[in-house]
Amino acid sequence: MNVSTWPSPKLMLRDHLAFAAMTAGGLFAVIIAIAVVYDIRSSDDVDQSFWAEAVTGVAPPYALGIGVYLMVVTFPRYVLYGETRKRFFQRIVRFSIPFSLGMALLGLAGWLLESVIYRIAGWEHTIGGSHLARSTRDAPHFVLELFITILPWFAFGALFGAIYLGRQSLLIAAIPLGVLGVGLVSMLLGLDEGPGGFVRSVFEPEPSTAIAVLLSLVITIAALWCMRIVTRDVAIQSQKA
Amino acid sequence: MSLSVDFDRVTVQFDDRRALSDLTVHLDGGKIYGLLGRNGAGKSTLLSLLGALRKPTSGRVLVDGQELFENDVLTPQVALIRESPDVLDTDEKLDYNLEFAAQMRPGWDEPYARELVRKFAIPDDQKIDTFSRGQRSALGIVIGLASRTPLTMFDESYLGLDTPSRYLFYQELLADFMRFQRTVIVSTHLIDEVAPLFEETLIIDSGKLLVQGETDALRARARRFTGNAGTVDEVLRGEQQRGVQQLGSTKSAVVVSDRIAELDTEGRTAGLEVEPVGLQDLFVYLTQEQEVAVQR
Repeated sequence: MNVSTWPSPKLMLRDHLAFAAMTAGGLFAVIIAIAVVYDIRSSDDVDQSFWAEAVTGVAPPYALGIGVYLMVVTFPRYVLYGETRKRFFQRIVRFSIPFSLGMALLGLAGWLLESVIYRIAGWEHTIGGSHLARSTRDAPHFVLELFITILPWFAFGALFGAIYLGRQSLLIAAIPLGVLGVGLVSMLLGLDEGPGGFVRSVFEPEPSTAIAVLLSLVITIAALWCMRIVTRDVAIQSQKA
Repeated sequence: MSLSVDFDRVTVQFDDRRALSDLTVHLDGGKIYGLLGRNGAGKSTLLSLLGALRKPTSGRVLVDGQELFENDVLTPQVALIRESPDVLDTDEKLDYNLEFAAQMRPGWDEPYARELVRKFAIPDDQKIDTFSRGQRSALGIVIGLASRTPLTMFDESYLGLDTPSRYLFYQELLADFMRFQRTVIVSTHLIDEVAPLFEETLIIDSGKLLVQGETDALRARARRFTGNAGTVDEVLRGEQQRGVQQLGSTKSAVVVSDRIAELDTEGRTAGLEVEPVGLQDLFVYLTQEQEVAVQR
């Protein structure tokens, strides 16, 4: 075994992206059904993307849940299979970027599919609310917004999971810090929804995509590093059958 | 390949109790070791240290002469199958669990794993969380054996297994050990069933090592003496009597002693019945010392 290279997260990625794709498929079906019902029941036409609102709202907390799951459920099993805590941290770091990007691309796929359905239905496919993407053709910004919001949410999920395993009393400090971190990224992106609103009540910087990207990466690195510190010596308890 | 094991003055302190206390143990490796102890004696804590699942409060745990905890080279060579068994992903089916094990264990033997799955009749078409406890234990055993790790430990891994499956486990463990010699540690309460496998036995009690030695030599140091109470006391004078039972003038007592051959001859000459003691009985007498003392 080559211990000088960071371990591959291939199996983990395969499992979680496949599950995310199934979840996204289910969500997409629900969103389209809502759009159809809206078109039938409402006097207004469907004139904006329902998917964009749904996916930007659901994907970040979903990634948080995956982060928690990986630490609480998956991490002990890897250690039981002989992986050191340090190498699991390396595996999670290598997982975080392709997973977040994969989630963002799933979001884009849904968006593109939705535009086809809207065209067939004769609906107008515009983007409402506050988003980085200015139009429905602005795919790069759509992906960028999802990617840089999902990444720190995932990292905080991993940190919360690690704290749950190791030092639960730290959750009192970690949760507000997490809300502040992801809220700042949302605010710098100029998004109205999400924890940005909470942070805005205290402090409101000028939106800047470049700073948001930088902050997202810094927050992700900091949260994952704290996860590493919390799990450095953590004991793996027996899970009774 | 097999690995040596050293516990160097190891203590594990939990909030409210001390699980291991200044424990020093050396295992040469390349044998099947029996780890015995009463409930709460510290067996599972000792094995969790060897599985690198926790760090000792003080002292050092060495495998092959190197500190084990967070050792990237050593930990993949160590497998601990606990009673749960928590190596399984219960949301998945058999194939996924075997695929995961194959990815994580450098010495994984897939054909052997499939052979064991067939022998233990483990279903491959349902999720693990629908398995019976015995089926989960069997799959844990399959993973433990097919991982072919140089240090392999089974901590009460047989729970829920029926008798034929337990005997299959013992048979497979011995057969595979003969093919691929390694260090195997088995912690069990079913001592008489597994004792024939143990080349060396360790008994721990209250977090301390009580006895360690070759299993046959340990058994050879113990005898039960039965006969007239006065004669038993006369023959066994100066020796600690354990497991004492008395009915009228007939007394029975077990002695563990380095002078056992001499006592055996003396007892038979004096007309006492002298019998060997099984490992399970020996374990009971050694770990019930205080209660025996009260009886006396």
